[in-house]
Amino acid sequence: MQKQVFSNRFGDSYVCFTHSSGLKVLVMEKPDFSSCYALFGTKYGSIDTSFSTDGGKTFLNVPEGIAHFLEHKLFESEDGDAFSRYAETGASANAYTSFDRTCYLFSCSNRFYDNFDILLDFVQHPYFTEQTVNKEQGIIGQEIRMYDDSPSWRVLFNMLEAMYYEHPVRIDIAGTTDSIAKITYNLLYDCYNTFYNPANMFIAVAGNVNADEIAAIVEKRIIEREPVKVIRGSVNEPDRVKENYTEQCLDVASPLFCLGFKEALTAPEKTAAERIAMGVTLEILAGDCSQLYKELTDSELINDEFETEYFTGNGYAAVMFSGESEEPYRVKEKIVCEINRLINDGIDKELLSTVKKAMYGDILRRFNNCESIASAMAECAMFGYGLFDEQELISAVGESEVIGCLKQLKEEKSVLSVILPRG
Amino acid sequence: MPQEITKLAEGVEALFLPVNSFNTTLVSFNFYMPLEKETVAKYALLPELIATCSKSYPDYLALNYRLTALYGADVVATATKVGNCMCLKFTVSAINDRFAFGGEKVMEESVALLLDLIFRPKAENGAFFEDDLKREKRKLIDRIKGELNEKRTFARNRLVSEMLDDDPYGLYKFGKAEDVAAISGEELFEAWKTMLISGYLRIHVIGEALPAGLYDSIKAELNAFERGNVTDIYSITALKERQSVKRVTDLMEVAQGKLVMGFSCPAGDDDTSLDVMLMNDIFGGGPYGRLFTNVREKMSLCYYCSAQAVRNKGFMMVDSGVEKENAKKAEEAILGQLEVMKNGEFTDFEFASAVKSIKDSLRSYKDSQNGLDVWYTIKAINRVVYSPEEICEKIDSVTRQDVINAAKRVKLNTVYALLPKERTEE
Repeated sequence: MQKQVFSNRFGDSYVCFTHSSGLKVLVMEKPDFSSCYALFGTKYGSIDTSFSTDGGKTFLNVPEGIAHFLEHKLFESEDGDAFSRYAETGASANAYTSFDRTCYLFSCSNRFYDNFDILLDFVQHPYFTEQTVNKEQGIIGQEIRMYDDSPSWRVLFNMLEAMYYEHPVRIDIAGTTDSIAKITYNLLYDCYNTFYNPANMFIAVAGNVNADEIAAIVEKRIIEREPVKVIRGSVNEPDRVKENYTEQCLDVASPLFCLGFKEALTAPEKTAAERIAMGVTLEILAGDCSQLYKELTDSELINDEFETEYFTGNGYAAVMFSGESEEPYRVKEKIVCEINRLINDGIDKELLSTVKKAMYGDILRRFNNCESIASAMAECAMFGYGLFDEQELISAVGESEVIGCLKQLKEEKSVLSVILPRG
Repeated sequence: MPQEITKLAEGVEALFLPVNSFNTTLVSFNFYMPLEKETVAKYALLPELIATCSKSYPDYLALNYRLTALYGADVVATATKVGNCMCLKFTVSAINDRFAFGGEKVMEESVALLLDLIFRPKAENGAFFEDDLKREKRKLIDRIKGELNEKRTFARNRLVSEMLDDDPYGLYKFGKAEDVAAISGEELFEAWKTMLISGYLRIHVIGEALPAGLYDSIKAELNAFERGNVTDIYSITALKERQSVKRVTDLMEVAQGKLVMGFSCPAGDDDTSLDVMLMNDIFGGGPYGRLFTNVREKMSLCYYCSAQAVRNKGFMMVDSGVEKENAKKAEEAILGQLEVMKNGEFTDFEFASAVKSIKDSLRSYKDSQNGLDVWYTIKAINRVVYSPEEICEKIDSVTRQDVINAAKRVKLNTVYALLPKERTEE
């Protein structure tokens, strides 16, 4: 296996192995810790609903929610499920599916290598049958209904549905009761064989472990497969938004809002530098040191729930402001007004350097914890940058980058999603 | 891990946990006040106000700016229920000095800032300022009302308040919205003084080194107050058994129901009730627990179903998400699994899995600053405080029969259900 070591000036370092199958393995040894956290992921999420494996001749369209469904089913094997195997070791295991990835993970303070074996084994050995698929449809249906009652989930997905015409990011990660009813065990195998190919996967481990031992296990356990050339179905997504406003009534105390600004994409994915620049921009625009934050708080338009997020992945990018407010329209007005003011007047240079200092502090804080280290390494494997690059990228953000980011936030491409109390 | 406890004044103790694995150091001040109906809203509001301004930083934006300049130092203030107390926690976490670009004393300055917030609040003539009060009241009232939004937490809180209706633990931790609204600047200032005079205070320092001069600064600050009548943190009341099960149902326009069942169980601490901890875990802890494997996986009666024990208050609760038509069946199934526990029909595998899982997570505590902080905050009300590693050893002495005996003393007390009502519109 090809091995590279990366270090920073504080003596932190991590190892990146590339297996002959194409699998990327990132390991950070933290000998001062008692525990370890390992994650085995694939670049396959809820948005991958159309793909071709024959060079683009034919495309397979699969039901929405299938990636999440597959995640549930992968824990099962012919002789029991992975949870009962982890019960033997005492590890705490879980998995999650997001828009662009599916990850299987565990944390433990004992028997790491046994747990790692279990992880590599069950993720590489699918077992789907008609009977087990039918059974899962009921329980996932319940999960979907649970999210129907979650205002913070609904306000986000209502916004995405109004923002996007075609892109599958507009569909709930778990799909709908109707879409999951169309899932068959054959379709699960099609998706598995396409996306659970080591060349499309990554492993990230942080904690009290030895990188070379991990490499040796990977070498032994990873099953080589013919590389699959996946072409994802292209989506003809216009730059404009579908609707500027959407609302729903739920049993909530006061209105919730999510204001999104759709960004145009010049490449399928935003670069690490672009993402960092937007992170800095959002702190300057609406962070808790900003004039906007003070104005919104003092005019009683937001409370402690207010937050910003840069939401981006393959084929989508949006900036979101969310929170609770009796007057979401006025929140939107003030945000738009402040964006224009900053573009015209320029930004406070001292605030820029202060915000960058805090972001540097946040990165250091991330190394306090095995889970956040491994998750950050997974991010690196997904998007192809280095764990220590961020610090350099932050210092490179100047006023022109911030103004550039602000100019992408256009009112005509915004969506205001509101959840209103009933009655 | 060595634990170093230093007594700084009457009812004031500091615990330093030297851990080298973090890039930050965490310092928390934990004031334990009696949990009472008359004061709960005041003690919920106080941390909010204290953490947003002080005499030196009269404007919250200036304070936020200062924290950002300290490499994003984090100040968090919260109020939680611990035993028969309300714990007001003020925390600062900042990067260790060696990471600062220009050799700044980040940690020292961050701790000085926290002391400034706690001991020199922005007040005049024995009262807080009306505009600060108004701002923080609004945010707290929003949070109280907002509890309704996430139905799972809402349902759990409803169960606790109905089940412990004659115990202070049944009080909602933020108080009632109308009580918050009625608090005056003078009253809140008095609550602040009471906190510093009679609150049992426990300071936690978790990180590479004890910030220089910290203990002396705290002693000097406390000298301005004549401490006395310190909160008795050890006096804890347990849930009383009921003659018949109390049932409460709320109907709302929701897609899915929530069922939360409350039980009385033997009350105790880490010397007397580790059997309850283990029993609770086998019953409804991890994915190997009886509730997950049977009620969720085999019977598909709920999407989630797990048990949690609050041992010092002598109760357990089972919390689940159910479809309306399954609510009754789910309740029966959960009680059925409790019978399995009482009859000792759980397997050796389940027993061993629970022990391994509990020990695995106990050993991981040392890797989380917040985890350690919370651990010692909750354990402070036990007469003997054990580290996670010590509990890890003690758990080995709990036998199968101990678990069965503990289960036999579990009794259903209150059932709370939040169910969908028939929609009138659409």
